[in-house]
Amino acid sequence: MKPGSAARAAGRAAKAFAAVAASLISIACGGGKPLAIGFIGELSGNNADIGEAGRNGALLAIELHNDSAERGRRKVELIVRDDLSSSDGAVRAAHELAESGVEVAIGPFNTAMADAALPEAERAGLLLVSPTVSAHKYYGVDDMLIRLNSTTRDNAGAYAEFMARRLGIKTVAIAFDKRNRAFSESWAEEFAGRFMTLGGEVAAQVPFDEMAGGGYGVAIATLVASGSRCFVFVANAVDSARLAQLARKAVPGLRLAAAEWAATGQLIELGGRDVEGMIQLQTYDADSMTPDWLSFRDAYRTRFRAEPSFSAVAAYDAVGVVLSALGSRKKGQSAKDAILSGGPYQGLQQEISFDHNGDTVRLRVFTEVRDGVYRAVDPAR
Amino acid sequence: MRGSTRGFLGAVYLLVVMATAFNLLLVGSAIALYRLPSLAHDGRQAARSTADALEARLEALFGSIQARLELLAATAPLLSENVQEDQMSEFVGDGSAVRAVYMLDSKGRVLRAQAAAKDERLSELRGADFSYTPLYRAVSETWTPVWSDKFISVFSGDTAVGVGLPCGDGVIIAELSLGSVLDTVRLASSEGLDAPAWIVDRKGELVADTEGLIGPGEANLLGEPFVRYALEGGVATETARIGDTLAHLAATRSEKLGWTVIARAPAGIRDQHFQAMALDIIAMGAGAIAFGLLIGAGWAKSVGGNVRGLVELSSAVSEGRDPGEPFRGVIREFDAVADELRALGKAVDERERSLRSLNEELEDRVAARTAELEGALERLTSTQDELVRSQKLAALGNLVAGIAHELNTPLGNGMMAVSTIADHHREFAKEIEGGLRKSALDSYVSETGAGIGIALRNLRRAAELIGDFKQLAVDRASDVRRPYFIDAVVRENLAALYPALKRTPYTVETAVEPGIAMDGYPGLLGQVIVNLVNNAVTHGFSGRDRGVVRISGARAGEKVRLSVSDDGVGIPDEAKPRVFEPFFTTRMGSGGSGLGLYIVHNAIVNALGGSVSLESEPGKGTTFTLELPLVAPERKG
Repeated sequence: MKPGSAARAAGRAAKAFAAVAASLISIACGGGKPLAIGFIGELSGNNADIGEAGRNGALLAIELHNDSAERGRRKVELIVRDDLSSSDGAVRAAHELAESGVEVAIGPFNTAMADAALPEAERAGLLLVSPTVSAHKYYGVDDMLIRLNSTTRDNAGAYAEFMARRLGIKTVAIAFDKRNRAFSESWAEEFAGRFMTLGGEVAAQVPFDEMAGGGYGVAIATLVASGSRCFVFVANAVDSARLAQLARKAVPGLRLAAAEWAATGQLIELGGRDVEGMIQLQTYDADSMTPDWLSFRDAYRTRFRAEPSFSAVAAYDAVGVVLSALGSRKKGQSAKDAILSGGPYQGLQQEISFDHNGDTVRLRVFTEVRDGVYRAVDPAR
Repeated sequence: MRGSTRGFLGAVYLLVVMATAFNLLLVGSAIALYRLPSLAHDGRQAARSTADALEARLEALFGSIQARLELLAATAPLLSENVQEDQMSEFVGDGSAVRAVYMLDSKGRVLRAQAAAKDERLSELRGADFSYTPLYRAVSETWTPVWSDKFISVFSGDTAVGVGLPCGDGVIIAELSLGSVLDTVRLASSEGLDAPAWIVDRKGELVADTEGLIGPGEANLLGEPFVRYALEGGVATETARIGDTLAHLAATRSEKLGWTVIARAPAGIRDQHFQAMALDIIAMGAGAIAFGLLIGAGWAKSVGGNVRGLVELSSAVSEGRDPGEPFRGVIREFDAVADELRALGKAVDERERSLRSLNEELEDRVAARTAELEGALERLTSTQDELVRSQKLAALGNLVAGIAHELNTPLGNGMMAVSTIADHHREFAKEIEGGLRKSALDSYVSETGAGIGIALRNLRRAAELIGDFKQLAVDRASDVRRPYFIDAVVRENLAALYPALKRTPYTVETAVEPGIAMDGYPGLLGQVIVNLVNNAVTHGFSGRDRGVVRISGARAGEKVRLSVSDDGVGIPDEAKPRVFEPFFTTRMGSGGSGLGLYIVHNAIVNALGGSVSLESEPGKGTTFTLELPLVAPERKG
């Protein structure tokens, strides 16, 4: 016997004893292994607002499910992984979740992270159900990604329609985030194409990379130089807030819009008065008075001491879809088939149904920041 | 033999293991029960001290940053812009603790921002509106130093926490990267803490985990009741389930930082002390089992040998062999068992012997008894036969008496007539000595003629009677088979009974169809009739002053139905099934032999091939109905 092996054996015995005891206790308590649902999102870094709200929405859905679950029904747990806003982080998150036996994960929350995580998910058989990813390139593709959001084509097209037709804007200048190019560039292209079709003019279309040094100054200078009086930012909340502050400092009274990506509370907190009047597409109706919405909102406020944002609502819906589909899946059916063949699912504010590629259409509500809150815009009113 | 010993060894091992395991369970449970409260107390103590210590250390570490910022805030309004910037730059230093510092004006717009490295973005921040940020709002509302929850920095685009405090009529904010916060927490928790801890902000967001298991942002603990209670200001220490894990929890809220330290010492089976205790108990148990098995093996071996010896002994005893040398084993009881076995063998031997002799004796006794019984049975049978015979003789006696009586009248009359003739003859002889006279001769002739006529008539009557009785006697005595008329047999037998019946107040009426020719044993039938009539008179009319016996007979197909009925007292129900049994009588000791109806039954069923049935109703009389074939079967033997 090698020295130390006895100690190791004793350690193993203790662990085995603990494991047996733990399993006995859990059996005695009638627990059973809970169903694990994964979560991949940016929980640190400058998209953490979306990730955190998404995590909150998913967590709330699961906690409510577990609270209301009848006796004996299987509990659900959320295994949360931070993709650290990096491709490596996203791959590792997907890998770890798949390794720990997770079959379905909520997330990722933006296209760059989806690009990174999807190959690993395909390889490991992990189904990604993204509440927010909208890049058009995922549309019509049969893959391990199911999206609850509309495509950038739909959303950017809707922005163009809204701004050109409803607001009567003739010229815009666009700044888009190079770091989430898969989303933002495609969004900018779709928007510009549609906007021009509607007779508008795109005076500038500028990429920026805030982290690459040089800040937002160059981009803002280009936008200002284009002479347009309406800027559109295809960026997250932090960047959009900063761009708004710089733009309004340079040209007071500018009309501003930001892609739906930025439509979180962080935009207003960080942008302050400089984001007042900014146009935003929300994928939910914050002013809804339906009982479902009000009870969700109250539960969310109580649980997280914060207001729900679009990613919270979408993640809540995503968990609802997953639990509903897995609850009624047939023997031998994959989670993906269960989700796609089931439905339509009842979301908080809309019915959700998928085509055979896992694409769907999300609710659209245009808002503007007024007095520090998002207010639905209806120029017709 | 080997197999059974192995089985025994296995049983011993199993017993040792089971007994030890049971003891272990019992003792272990007792120890655990005894120790658990103090373990729980220790655990809660560990959590409490950890929470308090960590909170104090964090306040001290972050408090030093705040103190420096307060110094900066106090001096800044007095300094020129350049010196302010120098001071801010010095405050930030290499950025390892504080990443950036912002000076905001009274409207919340950035006046100046300073970071470790010169950065284009810093100048861009100038004029940026921070008035909607929770930190600015909190400071401007309370006008006191405030530590923020986790937020995303507009400067770095990264998650951060900040401390803000009033500075002149504006606000100054120091931003700490989450990385540096984690470093600080790591430093604070690097040693001397008894339990891991979480640091959560006001929203329940996990800021740091001293174990590093959960990353910042990966958890919001407000959903845990304990955390919510602590965040709402409760100073809590308890043992509760957090997530799926039982832990001793203690929360300490830092008023200064707005953060709450949640220390959690593992409870239950995750508690190291508990594990150590469990391990001790298990080790103890394992040692005991090993020792037990060792001892058990040796013991089992010698016991096994003893058991084999005992088995040998017992088989010797059971086969009646000589058990050999006295047995000496490891257990006194085994010796006792062996001694008992020997004694048993001896006792069995003796008992066997005595049983054998007893058995032989018994056989003799059984044989003797059987012989006795056979003799008794023989005697009984002969007695029964004798009784039947004497019954017959009695009947014959009656018959003779009847005959004598019947003959008495004609013979008496005949005697009287003849003696009268004799008297006349003597008187006539005396008269003719004196000379025969015609008148005397005439008188003699007429008187003698009359006398002779009377004598002749009576003698003829007697002869007729004797003829009848002769037939009856022949029948009775010989049981000869012959053809007969049933009415004649009835009449003859009643005639024989007549003298006896005449002395009683009872009468016999007959209504037998005349001329029914039969072939069989009229003697037996006659006896049957006599017995039935006697039975009616003796039993049916017992104590009555009148009674009628009716005998009726008629042909029914190939049979004759003859019934003898009386209007007497009847036969009680309980006696009915037994009346045909031999020696059954209700008048034992007063003349009844108990054989009358038995003879009836025997004669009818066995000799005449017929059947006899009985109808009787108490108080209304009894009817015996005989059904007889016209031709009786041949008698066997």
